[in-house]
Amino acid sequence: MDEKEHIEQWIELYSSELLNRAIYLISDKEEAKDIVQDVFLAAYSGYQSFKGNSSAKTWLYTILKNKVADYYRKKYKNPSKISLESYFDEAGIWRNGDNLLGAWDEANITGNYAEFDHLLENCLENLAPKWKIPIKLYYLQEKKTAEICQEIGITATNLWKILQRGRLQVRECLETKELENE
Amino acid sequence: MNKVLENIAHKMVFTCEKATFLIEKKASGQSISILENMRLKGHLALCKWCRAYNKKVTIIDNAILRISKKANEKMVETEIKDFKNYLIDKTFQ
Repeated sequence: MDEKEHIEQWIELYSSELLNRAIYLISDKEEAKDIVQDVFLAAYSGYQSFKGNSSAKTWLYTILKNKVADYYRKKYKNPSKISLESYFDEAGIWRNGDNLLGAWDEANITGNYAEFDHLLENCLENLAPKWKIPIKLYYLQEKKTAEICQEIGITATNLWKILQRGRLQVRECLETKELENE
Repeated sequence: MNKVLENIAHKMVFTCEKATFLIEKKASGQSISILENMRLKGHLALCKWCRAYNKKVTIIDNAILRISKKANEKMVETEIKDFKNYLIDKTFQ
């Protein structure tokens, strides 16, 4: 098989799962399609650098990951200030601590992951891009702090603060949604 | 008595704001200093809110890892076929 036939075969085999992955990562179907198209263009023009020591699928996923990181890097604006005022009072104590105690816990979501995960996905989508992007990258890069910091140009301490801020909001969102359902 | 202990947790050990930051740092697989770890444990032992939060961080962390691995949108067969044709056109044009 020549290059072109290989790429055609890869499109046939992997494009739909790459697209699903891209849609998950950037939450926009049309942009995800563009990114997957970029992946195959890059694979075609860089075919010589594919040594075959990893599988084609792994190679394509690596390209996708880099393209998504590029996409986020362009969109990301570093927040100038990370305020936790709405969660903690001046003394640094929870404002609505008792909300943490009720609602969901491991026991009542076990066996009911689908519903919980669906709520969680909605809560993640509701985050402002300045929190959402680092969180998505954090999980995309399998929690490798150093790599994300390099990609979006922030310090590790700032990343943890952003994760803390984002998670506080996601948690609050889950508690609110849970209440709505009751 | 409980109030007194909670006061100690918040004033002497450290704030919930700081505790949640350390919980996040730990969840990322980063090691925290022995002193920080001791104080975090002390805080968690005395503060029921942060204890509840700590559990929720693990649950949310596991859940995001779980949804990161699955593809979450099912597309219809025709749409996939159109997309493949589109890719072939665009890639080799």
